[in-house]
Amino acid sequence: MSFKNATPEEAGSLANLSGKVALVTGATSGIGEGVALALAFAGAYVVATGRDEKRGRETVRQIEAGKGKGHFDKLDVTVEDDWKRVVADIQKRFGRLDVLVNNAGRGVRGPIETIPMEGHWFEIHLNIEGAFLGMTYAWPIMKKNGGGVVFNMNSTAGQRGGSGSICYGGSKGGMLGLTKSAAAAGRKDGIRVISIHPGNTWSPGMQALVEVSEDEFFSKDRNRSIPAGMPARAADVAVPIVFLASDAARHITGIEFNIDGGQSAR
Amino acid sequence: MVDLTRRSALGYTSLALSVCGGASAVLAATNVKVLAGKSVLILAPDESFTRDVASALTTHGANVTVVSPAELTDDAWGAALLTGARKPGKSDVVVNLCMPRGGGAVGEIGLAEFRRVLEASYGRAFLGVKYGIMYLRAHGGGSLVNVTSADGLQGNPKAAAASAASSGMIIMTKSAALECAAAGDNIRANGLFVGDVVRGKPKQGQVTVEDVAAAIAFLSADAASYFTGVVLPVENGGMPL
Repeated sequence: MSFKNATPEEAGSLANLSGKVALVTGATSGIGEGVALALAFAGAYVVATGRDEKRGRETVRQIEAGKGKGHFDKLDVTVEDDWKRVVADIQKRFGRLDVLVNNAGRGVRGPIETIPMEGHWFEIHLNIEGAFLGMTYAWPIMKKNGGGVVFNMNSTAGQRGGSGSICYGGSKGGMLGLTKSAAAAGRKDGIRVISIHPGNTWSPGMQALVEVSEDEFFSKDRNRSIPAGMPARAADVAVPIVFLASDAARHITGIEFNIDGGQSAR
Repeated sequence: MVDLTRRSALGYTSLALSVCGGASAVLAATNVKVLAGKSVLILAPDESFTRDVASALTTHGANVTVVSPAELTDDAWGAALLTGARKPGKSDVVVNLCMPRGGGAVGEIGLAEFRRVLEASYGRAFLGVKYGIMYLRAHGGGSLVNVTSADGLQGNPKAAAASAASSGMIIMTKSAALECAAAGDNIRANGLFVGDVVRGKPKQGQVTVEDVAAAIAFLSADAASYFTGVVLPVENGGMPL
């Protein structure tokens, strides 16, 4: 077996993040859930956030089942008051925030001529402004404690575009510029900002989009353009995040890290 | 501390490594034996940087061997890694260390100097990739990590030839990754582009051999089995200190 997908436990074994506090948005399912689990398994205290309280509590249950620590807090990343409340609560409870994962995001798909202006604004609000608000409110608390790490969940569509998702690619391209500028600004404040670019990754959101079974999504025929021969799983996205969140990666910032089984090497 | 035992004209160096005293603060904070039970083979010019990286890798649980073929020829590298009497045993990870130096500004050097730098660095890097892959194939696969200078990520007005050699490593790494994936030979190939590495106590922002070793360990970890063709910069975002 050549290439293989990671599990959240394996991702969590890459670094010791004990003593660190992490906030993950969109932690209620998919990639966000996998990242929240892996960070917790690496020893970080995880504030798992999202709009769906029931699914958020399920993420926390899995964290605790794996001997990790964390809690759920309700957060819609497009609502500024939510950010104020959640970050103030973190300040009160822990006095620190070491890792922010701006993960919440979604794509509007369809031919360009069918996408209404609302579709464009939806992507801008969710993908760009969500990350902007997250950094705006996390920055002071990170800066005060000597630094931190921000991960902005992008996509290979943010680097190369993607057919059938013009607004998604556009918003992710904007998000990449936002991330690079934040990384430059973070230099003097000790805050590292990193862009994460998953390619085809299995998640409930992806399943709803592609409308195929898990077996079909992982089939050899469907993944011939991926050198690794298979799509990613949520835990594969967590692998670089766990390492890059650790102090051992203190000189790594402003980069684009692809989770695409070697696809972008072409 | 590193106990070096020099062997043979092929440049085979057997390292008996044991780390005394405390690891760096970063490693202490990390404190995870990502490479526990793995053997690492470093292909490197014979220099102290190699010994320091080897030593740092042992703190991640690796057993390390260094091979430094003396000549830049296929015969020398084949003998050192594949056919010679003292070819190394099985390793799971091959680290191809190549930090190009020199060359001066484009307007200052002649073709002879440009070729000299390219052969010594990029030529050696090619042999490291080629024989690193052949070695891993002979042992059932593994992780190849090319380590080179961050000069390859952007221009350097004072070291045009060295920058060219380093930047070549970006695409050579990706090509190797694609070649190995297509061959289905169980080899992942990734690259590490590091800024100026300091020995001893670093000033703020300076990269240490421990930082290099941690990134090698990450790219070679079992948990990273989905990754190939990754080019990872370790250079503070390319921004001046």
